[in-house]
Amino acid sequence: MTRVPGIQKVLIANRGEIALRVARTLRRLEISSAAVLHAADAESPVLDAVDETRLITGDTPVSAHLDGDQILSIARELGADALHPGYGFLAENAAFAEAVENAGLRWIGPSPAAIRLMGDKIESRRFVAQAGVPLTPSASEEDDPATFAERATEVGFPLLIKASAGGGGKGMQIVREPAQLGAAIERARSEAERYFADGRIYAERYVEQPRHIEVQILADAHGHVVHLGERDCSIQRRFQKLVEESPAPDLDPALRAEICEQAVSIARAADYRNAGTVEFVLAPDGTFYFLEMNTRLQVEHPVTEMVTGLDLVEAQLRIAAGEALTFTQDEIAFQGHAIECRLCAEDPEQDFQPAVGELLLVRPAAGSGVRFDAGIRTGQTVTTAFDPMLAKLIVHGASREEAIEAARHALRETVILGCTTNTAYLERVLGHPAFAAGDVETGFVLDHAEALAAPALSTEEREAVLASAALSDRDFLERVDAVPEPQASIGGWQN
Amino acid sequence: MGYDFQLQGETHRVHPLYELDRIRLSIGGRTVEADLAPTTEDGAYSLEIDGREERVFAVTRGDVHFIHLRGRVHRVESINALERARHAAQPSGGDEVLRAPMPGTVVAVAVAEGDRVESGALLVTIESMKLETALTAPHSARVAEVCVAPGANFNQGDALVRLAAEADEEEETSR
Amino acid sequence: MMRRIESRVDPRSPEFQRFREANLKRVGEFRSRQEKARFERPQRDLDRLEHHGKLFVRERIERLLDPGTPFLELSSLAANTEYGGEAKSASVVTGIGIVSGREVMIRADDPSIKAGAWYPLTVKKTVRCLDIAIENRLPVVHICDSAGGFLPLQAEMFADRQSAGRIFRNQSILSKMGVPQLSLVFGQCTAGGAYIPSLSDYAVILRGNGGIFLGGPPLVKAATGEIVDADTLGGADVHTQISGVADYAANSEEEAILLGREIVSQWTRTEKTSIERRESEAPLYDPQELYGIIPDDIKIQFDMREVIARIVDGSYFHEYQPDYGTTLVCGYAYIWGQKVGILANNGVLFNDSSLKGAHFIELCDKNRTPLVFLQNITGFMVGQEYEARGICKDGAKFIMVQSGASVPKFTVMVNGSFGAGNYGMCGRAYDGRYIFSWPNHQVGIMGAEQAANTLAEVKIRQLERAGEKPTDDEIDAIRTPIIESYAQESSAYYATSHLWDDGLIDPVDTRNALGIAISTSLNTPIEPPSYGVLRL
Repeated sequence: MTRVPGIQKVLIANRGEIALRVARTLRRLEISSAAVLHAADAESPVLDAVDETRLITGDTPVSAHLDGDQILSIARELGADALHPGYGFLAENAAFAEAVENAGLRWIGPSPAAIRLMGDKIESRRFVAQAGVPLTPSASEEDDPATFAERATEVGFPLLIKASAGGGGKGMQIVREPAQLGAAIERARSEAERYFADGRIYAERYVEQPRHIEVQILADAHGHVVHLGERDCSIQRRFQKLVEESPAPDLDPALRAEICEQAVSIARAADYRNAGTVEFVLAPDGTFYFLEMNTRLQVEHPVTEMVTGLDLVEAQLRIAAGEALTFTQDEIAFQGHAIECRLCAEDPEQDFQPAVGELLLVRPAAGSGVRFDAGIRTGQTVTTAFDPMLAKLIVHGASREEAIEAARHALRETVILGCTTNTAYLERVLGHPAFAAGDVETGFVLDHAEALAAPALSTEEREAVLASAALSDRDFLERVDAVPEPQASIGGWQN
Repeated sequence: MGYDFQLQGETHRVHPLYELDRIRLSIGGRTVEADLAPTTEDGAYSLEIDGREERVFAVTRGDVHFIHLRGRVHRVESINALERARHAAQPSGGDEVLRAPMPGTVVAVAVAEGDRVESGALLVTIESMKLETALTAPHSARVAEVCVAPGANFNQGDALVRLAAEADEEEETSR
Repeated sequence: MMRRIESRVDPRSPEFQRFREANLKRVGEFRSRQEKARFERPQRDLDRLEHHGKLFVRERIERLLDPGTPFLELSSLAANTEYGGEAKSASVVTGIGIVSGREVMIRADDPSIKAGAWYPLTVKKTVRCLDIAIENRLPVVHICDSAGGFLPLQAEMFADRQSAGRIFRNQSILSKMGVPQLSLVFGQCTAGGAYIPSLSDYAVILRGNGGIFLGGPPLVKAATGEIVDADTLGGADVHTQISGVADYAANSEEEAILLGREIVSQWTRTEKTSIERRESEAPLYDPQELYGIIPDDIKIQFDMREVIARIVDGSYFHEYQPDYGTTLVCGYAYIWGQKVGILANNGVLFNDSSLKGAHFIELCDKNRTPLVFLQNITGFMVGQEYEARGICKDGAKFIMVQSGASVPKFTVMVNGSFGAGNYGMCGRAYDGRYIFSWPNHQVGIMGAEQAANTLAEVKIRQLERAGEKPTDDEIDAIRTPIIESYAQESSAYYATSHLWDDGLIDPVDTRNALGIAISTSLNTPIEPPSYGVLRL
């Protein structure tokens, strides 16, 4: 008997870190777990974390995870009564969610209608505007393709060209001057086709130096909607989040309350169910605009979990099983401060270019208040087949200062060898005075590029590194040991 | 004389200094007392260096050592000095001539003047004593001249293809 | 366990100070002469090297050797008294070093001296180094860069038994014994010189400067009229691609040397003969004190035990027959952990010390202990009493046993080496593996004074038979030239110049030199002991 009545067996339709994360909660709740794996993930720790696995195939590893039919038929074959899509891949694919529900399985997420609504950036903006939530000025190509460029220009520069079906920071182009507009539109359209199989694009005013504030929403099927506080995800590179924290630093309490309430009202208006996140752009002058709503569990959900003490995956499962929320908004306690860092296989020194290699050693930092959600382990090979994120390091502290200190320490203690990662870079980000002061905005990484560059090695460090290498080097040691006695004891003498 | 390691694009020389009861290291010309002792944890070592102790993680793959020290990861590659000397020393005269190992006939010519070829690329196929031999590029280069044509006869030692070195342009070895 | 020698030397005594000053001066001069022989070259010769892209011979050797390892150079001052001093170190550097973890003998031509041409003493030094390689089964690395024989002196180095031909004979014997040789050809190996790489197991030849031919271009043109350049005649490509005379071609000296190291790393390591060992320990007494122990005058006696105490491990010494034959000190000690039997002179050799010496050598031979001879000998005791007691046969027994000894033998010329004492105490003729001499060393059939006196005595008697009596001036005229010529021809520099030893060393270097020497000697198995008839 599982601890969530109504759910016996869940198929996790995802991989890596999030698959492990979901599996952990399933184990704790004594729910049977199954996962799908592509051959490229043959070494994945997911294998040991779930009760059953099945191989999926496709032209590419990513396409295998996008093959809804294949995954659904596996779910049925395994007798799963629920499916958790994680984030990315099919998590916001309304058609797939529908097929899952039609097949009689519970979809661990919101309704297909909500997914469809919020998944369409143009539609969702229209909906939200009607709900009275402020939006950034924008123009959609669909309305009138012939005049799109013109209307985009009217939106005003700088502006963003974004994929309507997009998300996760992909398929976006910043345009600062009219001259760049044409090429940017082309690029955005082709990326949209490539990543989301949907070439629709829209233009949106780009707020300079914005902060990215998002609100975690939880809603059950009985009309209860609560928010679990906000997260600040301003530290980004190439529009993808790198560091997230909760609560947002230096946020005026009234503003916080307003933003959270707006998020709740959007969820209510959309008749939302299960977990979701409403993202806003906060301008330096204190105005904020709706950005988008993500109808799924987000990568950075752990910071909310650490600050509220709740297990969001458990909440998702219970909501999907039809249970009502067992707490009201007032009963949610927010304690301390949490920070999450995304450890990625990339080289910050080479413009964050993805890195590959065999993971010769993965050793997470230990310690109370340190959570290491990893999708990797020693022996796995990192390739460009999948997203470069390897693991998340989440730290909780009584205050933001404490959390920063603990996170920096944990980053220094985290050892990942064999593939270049951004671990040391993240430590420098957290150690930057601007971060400590809470001066975060989405241009942080570029603005402080020089200060964040890896410092030169001191002589002391360099000698320690070289000594370690030499004394680990088989050839070197062999040659050193090969010298016979008494010469080895006599040393470099000459007569 | 010593053994070279590459770190952050620079080469550093490390060599042992033998003494009665210990071996010290000379690193970049400076004498350093160093000892690397494994600990019970996989990949973790205690490095005693110049009287202080550092915690180090180290793993090796082939000739590359990954070292984690003070929160940063470094990639150190041990350099085979002979390999490096071979790459550095160019034959005098610039162009390299590939000569016929024995008398024979040209069966086919696979390249033309100006072509860029990779190491191992087919250049010319020759036939002699009923045996066909493929002459390939000993390293990546540019074809400076093709000295024969299909059907031509040649003697042992005759020039077949002239190659010009490409050392400046080519990317160094991919490991 | 073993007892240490108790030193009785007083470093504060005026005698010690006087000796020390004299020896520091001697060593200073030795080091200065050695430094010049090693490095002083006319600038134009160094320029010529650079022009041809050649490294200096010592640079080549340094790159060949394992970093941080010792190099025991042999006969650094060979030829220092000959050829007007032109042929520094006899134009060739030889020595024992470690290459890729193996003990090897290195022989390197010095092209900065007359393009590396071979003088008669170059040949002698080369033959000697290969003799050492044969006796100690040492692999050899040749760095060939010589213009060939120095033709004006060909009569002294071509036809005789130990002349140039012996080099190639030795190489062939080394190969027969299974001891590998590598040649790095950095210059032109012409005529006989071409045989060095040809007789080596492995040969690396440098493109450009390297060449191997029995007849060089000028000789070829003179002989047949054929005109051909050196590279086409015998360059790297010809020999590594067509003729098979060489095995590898290299494009730079650096590459060739590194390749040479890789080749040596392929050589099978052989096990050493086992002898008694213990963990090594520095001498208890400071070797620097040797400077205050060796007298400034050859006639002054000193206790050899004080020398032993500053050479052997921990100054431990087990003395054998301490109360018998006291003019010869015999005993066991360890040098860099290797057990040896030491024979050291503390005066003239008498009947009893001769017998003791023979007996001790037998002991060491039987229990496989290498022998170290520390020479400071003016000869055997003369006089009626001793002749009647058979000093001839006692000395003969000493020589007989020492000659036949199977264990490796090493000699250090600590001070004087005169007369038959040189023989018994394993002089050059007695196949010691190595002989090293101190700068204060003197060697001769007898001391200068003694010779001068003897010859003067002969002349005086001659004149007296004729009824004349020589004047003091006439006596002087006989004595002085003798003393002068003996002084010159008995000096350590003269001896080492003619390769009567394997090199002069600073006394404080003795322990290291012997330590390495003994180690190399153990590559050869020790035969069971046997000797000829002892006249009892």
